[in-house]
Amino acid sequence: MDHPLSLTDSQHAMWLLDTISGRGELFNVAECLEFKGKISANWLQQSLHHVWQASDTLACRFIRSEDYTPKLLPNDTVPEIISQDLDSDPEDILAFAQNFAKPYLATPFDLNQEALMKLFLLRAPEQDYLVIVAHHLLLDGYGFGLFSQSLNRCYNALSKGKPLPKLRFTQQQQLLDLHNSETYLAQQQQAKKVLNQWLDATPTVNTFSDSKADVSEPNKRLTTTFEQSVWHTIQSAAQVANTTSSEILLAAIAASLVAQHEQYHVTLGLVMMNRQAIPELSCPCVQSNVLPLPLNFDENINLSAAAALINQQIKALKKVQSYRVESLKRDRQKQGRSLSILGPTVNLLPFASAPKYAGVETNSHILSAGTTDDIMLQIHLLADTPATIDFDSNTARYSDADTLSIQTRIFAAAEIWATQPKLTLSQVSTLLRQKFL
Amino acid sequence: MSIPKLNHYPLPRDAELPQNRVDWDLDPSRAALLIHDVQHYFVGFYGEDNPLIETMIQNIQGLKAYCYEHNIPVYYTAQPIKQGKHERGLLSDMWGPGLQDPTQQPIVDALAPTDKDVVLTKWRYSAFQKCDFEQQLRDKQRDQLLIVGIYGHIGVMTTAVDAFMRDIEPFLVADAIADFSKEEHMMALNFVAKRCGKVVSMSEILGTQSQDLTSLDGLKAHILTLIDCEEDEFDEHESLIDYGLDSVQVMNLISLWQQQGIETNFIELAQIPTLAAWVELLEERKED
Repeated sequence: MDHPLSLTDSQHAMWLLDTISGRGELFNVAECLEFKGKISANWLQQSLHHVWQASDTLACRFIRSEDYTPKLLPNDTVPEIISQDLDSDPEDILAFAQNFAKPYLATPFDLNQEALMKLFLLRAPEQDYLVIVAHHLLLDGYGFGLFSQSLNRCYNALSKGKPLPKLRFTQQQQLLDLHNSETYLAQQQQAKKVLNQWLDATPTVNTFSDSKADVSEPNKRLTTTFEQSVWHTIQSAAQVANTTSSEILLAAIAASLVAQHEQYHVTLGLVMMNRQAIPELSCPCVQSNVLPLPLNFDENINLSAAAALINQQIKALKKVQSYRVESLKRDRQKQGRSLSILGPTVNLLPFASAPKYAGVETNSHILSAGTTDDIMLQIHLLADTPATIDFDSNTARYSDADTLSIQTRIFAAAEIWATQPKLTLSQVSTLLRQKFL
Repeated sequence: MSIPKLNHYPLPRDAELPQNRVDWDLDPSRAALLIHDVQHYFVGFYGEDNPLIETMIQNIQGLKAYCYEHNIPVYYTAQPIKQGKHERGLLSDMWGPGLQDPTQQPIVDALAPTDKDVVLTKWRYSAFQKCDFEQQLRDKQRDQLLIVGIYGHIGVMTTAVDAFMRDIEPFLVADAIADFSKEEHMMALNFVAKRCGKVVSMSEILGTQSQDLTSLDGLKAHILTLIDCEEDEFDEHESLIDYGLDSVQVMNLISLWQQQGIETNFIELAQIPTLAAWVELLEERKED
């Protein structure tokens, strides 16, 4: 029998959240891969088999040792892709896939017993759809991309009659060795110090809601895409302001918070990929982290200066991204400080790709990226295509009308500031207040 | 009924330009430059300090200097003020009364015509209509026309069509034109490239090479503008993530390569995050 291995900090944090909350379903994530044609179920299963067995962070169970310490126990039993026939192709694929995944997203995995992934191949007359539901312990956003890309490589090799590719995933022990190295641990200690200093200097952290309530039902999602012409103006403003469209979106989110609270100190929560070293980039398991991005704006700042501040702060955040948010919250608790350390959370997702499966084109839909007790903005960046933002919110804190109002204000802020980059933050905030608040 | 308020958008990059059907070569001894309708009135719809207009004007200035240097005659069009119903014709039904204020009639200051230039009165979408422009070109033995200015999908495109029908080769300068939107801009370029002319860029005319973002040197030069690192300290075998290249910048690169027909994605690039490995991957993809 294989020897159980320790968990990384990120896995341990996720395991603890799952165990302590008693609500493992909150940590389920799901995607739907839409095939623009028909594919081979047999090649897909063979590909999954090869990918699964190439990574012990996938092929494992998360057991609890006698002293209640969680461990990763290698287990190479590969999940079976469950095939289901559909009478017709769904008209609204996203809605259909969300509805299909709903019961599986609402069911917790048994970390001790089960493979933490379920796969369903839905076979309609014209197209096939692969719905994947997994626990966040197994995959984060980047991990999902890595997993899908490996699956695709294997499938295409099989379709061409070639040998299956050698997949070079980083194994659990390699990741542990890296994370136990002196350099890494020193970096974490420094990160702890810096993050606590940032929070000491941060006044009250605001989000879009003043209420507090736990998650009582699945998050509700509002999805909106920028109009093409507005997106072109944002791209042009990015060129003029020597910034990126994502920084303009972050500036717009910050401006809408400034307008709401009339405070120029904004703290966003930013999902960090938390993969700096090459071994981390070749491992699909959870590594991402959510950390505070404190932004201390001057009211007279224009778009270019606001984007520069955001850029500078993100660069600083990258250096401290290995320190877990859960540890940071514990630090704050020990010091008797506020546990509200994050405003609305933003997840920038540049991982979109549309690989072909033996010539069949694909389109991937993120059905759930986890559950938030506040509001999370998942920003899908698709090269020159206008960005789409999913607003996932805790229904106990945000009504449909609240979320729509937040979306409208953020989109308006982005358009106003991109169209007139010389406006100050205070002017943008005033325009937003006059129009919406 | 008037022209709407117009926003800025990014001018098309060389890699975005449509494929031309014709292989005409621009010959300075046969060419003329037309700066189309860059009057205060039409430019005013873009608002003050509009980056699109600022870049377009800067590019036209560069092109005009090139034309002077190569003895290429320069023409302008400018619409007259307070045209009567009869003079303006159907334009009134489409756009209302048009230019009324005399202060809005001149060409913008940054492109003000000199004594060397000819200013034509513009009556309709095409610069050739109700005007002896064709004859003026023939007199100077010019049968190639570089067209720049505003608005791309209206007067600029129509003038190109009209030139083509008079056996004058129109060359549309993609990044010295402004339009209502990027979509309409691209529509005009696509139409001209496929049906009646050649679409060219400033770099093509001026002979300035744009960076090849798939070569080691071109990509290195581009990446050095994105990260905080001096050229002599940069190592092409070191991780670009360690140099501070972020995911959005990587996405922008993917988009630029995509325009050259090279497909990559973030995950595969992130697993081999060095300049040397990326160039190798791009070479493989070019061969695919």
